[in-house]
This record gives sequence, structure tokens and C-alpha cells, in this order.
Amino acid sequence: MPWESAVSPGGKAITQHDSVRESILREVYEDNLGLPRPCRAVKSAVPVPPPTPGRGTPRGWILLPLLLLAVALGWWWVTLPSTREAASEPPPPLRPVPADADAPAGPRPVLRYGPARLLGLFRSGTDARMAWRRWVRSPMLSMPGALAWSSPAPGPADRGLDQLLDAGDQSLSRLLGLSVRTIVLDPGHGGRDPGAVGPDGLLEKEVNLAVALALRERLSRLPELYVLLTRNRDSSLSLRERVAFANLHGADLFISIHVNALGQTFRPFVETFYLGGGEALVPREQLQLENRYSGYTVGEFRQLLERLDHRFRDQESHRLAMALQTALFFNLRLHNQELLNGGLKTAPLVVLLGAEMPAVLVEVSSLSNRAEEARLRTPHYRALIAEYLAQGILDYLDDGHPRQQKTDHHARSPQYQPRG
Amino acid sequence: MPAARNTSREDRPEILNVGIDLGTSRSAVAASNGQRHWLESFVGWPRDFVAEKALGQRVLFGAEALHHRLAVKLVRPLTNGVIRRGAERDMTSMQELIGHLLALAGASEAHCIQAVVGVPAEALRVNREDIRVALAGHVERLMVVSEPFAVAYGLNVLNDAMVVDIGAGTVDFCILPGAMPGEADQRSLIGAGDEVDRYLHELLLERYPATDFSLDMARRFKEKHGFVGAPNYQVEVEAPVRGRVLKHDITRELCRACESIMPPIVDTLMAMIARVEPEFQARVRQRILLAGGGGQIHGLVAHLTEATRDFAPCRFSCVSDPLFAGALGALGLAEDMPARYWEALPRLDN
Repeated sequence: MPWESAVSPGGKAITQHDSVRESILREVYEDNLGLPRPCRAVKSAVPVPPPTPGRGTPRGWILLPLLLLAVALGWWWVTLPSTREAASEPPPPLRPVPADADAPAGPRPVLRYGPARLLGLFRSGTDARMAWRRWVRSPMLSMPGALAWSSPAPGPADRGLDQLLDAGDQSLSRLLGLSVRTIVLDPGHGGRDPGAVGPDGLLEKEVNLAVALALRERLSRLPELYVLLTRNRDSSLSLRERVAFANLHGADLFISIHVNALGQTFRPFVETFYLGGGEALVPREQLQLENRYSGYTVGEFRQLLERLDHRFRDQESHRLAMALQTALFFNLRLHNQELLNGGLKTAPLVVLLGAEMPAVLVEVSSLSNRAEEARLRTPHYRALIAEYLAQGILDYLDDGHPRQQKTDHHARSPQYQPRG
Repeated sequence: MPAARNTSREDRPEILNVGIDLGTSRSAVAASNGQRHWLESFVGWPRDFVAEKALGQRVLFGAEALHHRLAVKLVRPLTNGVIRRGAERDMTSMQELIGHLLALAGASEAHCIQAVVGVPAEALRVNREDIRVALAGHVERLMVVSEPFAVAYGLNVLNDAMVVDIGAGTVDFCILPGAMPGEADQRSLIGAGDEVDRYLHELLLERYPATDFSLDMARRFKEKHGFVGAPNYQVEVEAPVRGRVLKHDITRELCRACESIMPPIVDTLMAMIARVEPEFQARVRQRILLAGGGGQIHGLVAHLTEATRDFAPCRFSCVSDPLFAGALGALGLAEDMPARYWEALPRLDN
């Protein structure tokens, strides 16, 4: 293979100061120093000889957990009575501590929900998952900003997470300081599956891909976001593969982009689906269309349904859906007065069920409407949709309070020089 | 493959510095004893005891595994730039591959191995800990860096430059700011060499539906004849049609497949450069290095130069030894790293 030009390894074509090199070496070292020692998670196929007597490390690994367990058990016995008392007392009303308070006033509060409480939660149940859920739902998490130093007596058990989840004005992700880094965009259909087909032959898969590519281009201007596409060309991909892609990459958000083509044809409409506990409000035909080529077996689908009780994910999905639907509809309406607001809907769409992160499916427009199909053929209209979707995502990321007015999100992005 | 190491460092005074480039498609190793080896990142597990007996080995690697792919279960430990997860065999395969690489490099029980491993930037982000788990038991001290950074270090290009590593699983972009590149200085694209293979395979099946093209054949065609832009010659390959070997013209399909990954590369390239301080952008544009297997695509420099002309003039160079550029860079890091830093790192034991 001929080379156009070459740079040789070890070549000194571009010389550097030694100080730069030293500084880089130190940074590499520090970057690697911060990592904890790994546990050997998977057994090697190679037979490993028994540890040599006298080597300290294996013994340390055994002794350290035993020591920690002994300390934890001791603490548990010491604090057991107070925990019982607390459990028998009627729950007093919650008294949140002001957020700006440096230290609680008055006598030093009692730490009610320490390790003993945690151990108690695990002790009384046999199912570790249930124990974990009880802990998550415990009052420890019920008082943002106060946590363990909150009140002299515990709040009502099993109300903490519910309160947070039901608090309409602030998302749990913000309360817990969670951020979004990886977004997976899923252009629906593709390859042998054209999706919906417009009256004049426009294929849904083409529109989905074009919008997703434009959306990625916009989101990629934000350095803190890492945007991935499940497909970047016209290729067949089962729903299972799409979901697996998002799960594999540890996505924080999953957004599936589609175009509607069912129901009435005289007015285009925009709607957004998310996975929620409510009753499905979707026509059977639409459900069939969107769940086609799922790639799941009946048994696997049952397992997916069992994971429905992911309230945190569902809440965030709802917020994301709300932000996207609002930004998309109200802005597109400025260009097309005929547009209808299909609103938010919950549905057991397979592509949403399998995702382990907040996931929504946006029907960005309708192909069944001939005029809308003509608009969807133009790159300009597709770019507009992408821009408004980007705005919706930014609204979700900003504060969870979607804005209904069109805003210039370029002001929040690094300057980008478009081609030409 | 050497068994997991179980004697203390004090028992092995002879230090062996090793640089490993762990790639999705190919992995390479360079050691301070002068050994340099590479192999395709495939691990083959005999399908049953008959296959194991016929092959005479418990596990096969690289070209040998590919050659016997009908008799073995092929595992590619890295997919899309990250360590595969889901089966125990995935991690075991990675461990076997690393053990084999070290054995090729002449590592023995007598050595205290200090390794710097270059991995796709995506793997560094997603499963960095898995890499350390895979290396545990094989080396005493380990540092993990991104592949493009290792390449840049080996070439002594440490500031105001950019490395584009076009690999099989990912295309990694890395700006060299005169310090160790941070997260914001690096970006990865999933559409890379493997995507080209898949697309080429689809195109070939579409054009020649009666011909038996395999994905591996598509990969070999790409590696041998891959080009972008105007073709220098007509690409004809042989493939069986109902048992009869015939020649097929694949020039157009090859060009389409190879060019399919170019637009996102150009877009990302310019977006990355646009984030550099304005007064340094011109300098970075003149120092863009193309590394990885994809850097060998014929006509790539001319194509990218032309594609970026509308933005601002850019100058691209290919590394002369893309197969070992990452491993040599990693070895350079291992050898330059002061002993006190190595000593301060926690040991990787079983």
C-alpha cells in the first residue's frame, strides 16, 4: 500500500521540550494511580496454582471483609434497641432542615439511620432486591439536604422515594446530582423495514435517519455530551439490537425517532411515547408496527415486563418525553398551523421496555398527511425537527422545566462553522 | 500462554517493559527486549473435544484461529472498541489473548513486567476496570492509555496536533494539547472498519446475489484493495458461484463502502478542531496524523484534504508503521516512565 506521506515512530520531526514530556508522564501516572485495584471477576481458564504461603495479599483479602463484618455486627447490637424504639413510635411529621443551615440548631441530633438501620433492612427480609428497595425507599433518602441529620425521629417508612418521585417540581436525577453524558439516538426502522410509507412514497426510515443524523450533529457541539446512533445508514436492525446497543454503551438517555402514519390523515400530529405504568393509549395496529422485528422471544418479553416497576427510569422518561414533546410541538407549530398535539402517551413498546435507561419514542411528524410528507422531503424541515428535538433535550438537561418558547440554544453551544 | 504469575516482585529482579496495543481487529506488542509481534484479535475455542483433539490445542489465536474457524468458536474480545460483556468466555478470551501476546514478547516467570496498554478510547471510557481485570495476573504494574495518545507519544507529537486512529471498531480522535489529553480532547465514532466490512458485504450480496461472499472475505478485500476517491485500477476478486470460482468486479462497491465512513470523520474532525483555541487551530490543522488500519486506505490523504478544503486547508500524514505505532508508543511510555512512578502504582495480583 503506497503512503502519501509518512511519519516514523520515534522520529524527531517535531521536537518537544523535555518538560512537556515529564509533565505528560506524571499525568499518565496520576491518571492510572487513581484507579482501585481490580478484583478478579472472572476465573481464568488457566489453572492457577494455590497461593504461595507467606504471601500477604490473599490473606488480606480474606481477613479484611471478616474484620469489617465483625465491626458492623458489633455496631448493630449496640444500636438495636434504639432502632426498635424508633420503629414502635408513631411517626412524627417530617421537619426538613433549611438548606442553608451549616449545622443543626439545638442539641446534637441523633443519627437514626446508620449502618444498623441498613443492616436491619437486610436482616428482616430474605430477598436482597427487596431489601435494597426498602433502603432506597427509607426516610434516609426522603429529606434532600438533610439526610441522616434531619429530625430527632424517623419519618414515615417507605414514603421517601415515593415523595421524591411524586414531587412534581424537581426530578430525582437533579436531587441526586445525576448528570447525563451519553445519549443514544435510534433512527427507527431501516434496511428491509421501511416503516411507514407516505402517500407519495416517502419512506419513514429515510426521514428518521436524516433527523437523527442532524440531531447528533447539533448535540455533538456540546462537549459534555457523547452522542451515539444505533444506525448511521440504511441498515436492518432489530429492536433487540438497538436496545442492546444502548445498554452496552451505558447510555443515560435513549431516544427513538419515528414518523407516524396511522389514524387520521387530514392533519399532521406530533406525539411522544414513554414507558409508564398507565394504561396503553395506542391503537393495536400502531403497536404492531412499532414492535415489528423485535428479536425477543416470548420468555424474554415476559422478563422485560417484570422490569416494568422501574419508577425512577419511568419518571425521568416522562420528563424527557414532556420536554421533547413541548419543544417539538410548540416550535413546529410556528411553521405549520395545522399541526396537532398528540401529547404524551404510555405504551409497552418493546424498544422502550428493554432499555435500562430513561427512554422515549418520538413520533416527530405524520407521513399520512400529503402536505406534511412534502415538507418532510425537504432537508430544511428535517433540520428544523432536529433543532427542536435538540432544544427539548437541552431543556430536559437544563432544569427539567421545558420551555415553550423557541430559544436560541446555539448561544449555549460552542461556535460551529457549518460547511460552506 | 504463561500461567498467572504468583511469585513476588522481589523474586523477579529482571524488569521487562512492554507496550501493548489492544485493538478491535489487531493487537500488537513491543517489548524492551526488542521483540515485536502482532496478531489478529481473534481467539478460537475448539467446538468440542473432537476439534480440540484434532487441533491439538486448547485455544487458538489470530490467523490460526481464523484458519480453523469451522472447528472453533471464534471470539473477538473487543467489539466496537469495548470489551465484550455477557459471557464468561468474553473476559477469558481477553485474558488468553493478553497472555499469548506476552508469551510472544518473550515474557517469562523470571520477569517483572511493567506494561502500558493502549486501548480504544471507547474502552478506556466504558470498561477501563475490565482491562485491568484482564491484565491482572499477567503483569505486575499496569498503565492504561488511549491508543491515539500512545501513537502520538511514540511519534513525539505531543502538542498542537491531532491523531485520527481509524480502527476496526472505532475511529478515535485525539487532540494533543501539550499535556495528557482529557476527555474533552478525545472523541470516538462507532462507524469504523467493521462497519465498512458489513456494508461492503451487503453491497456485494446485493450486486452478486448468487455468489457466496462471506464477511471475512469482504474484510480481506477491503484490507487489500480498499480505496477512496478515483480508483487506480479495477478491483477484481475471485469468489465461488455455486461451487465454481469466478471473477467479480467490486470496484464500485469497495469505493462506496470505504467512503461511507468519511462524512462523519470529516465532520467530527472539524468539530474537534473548532474547539481548540482559535489561534492554535491553524497549527493543529497542519499536523493531523492518520493512524490505525484505516489509515492505510489508498487515497485517504487526498480525499480528506479535498473534503476539508471548504473549511480550511488541512495537512494529513499517515504514520509509517501503523501496525506497531501504538505498541511502540506504549513501550516508549513504559520506558520513559520514572521508576518511582512504577513503584508507586498498586500491584496487579490475582
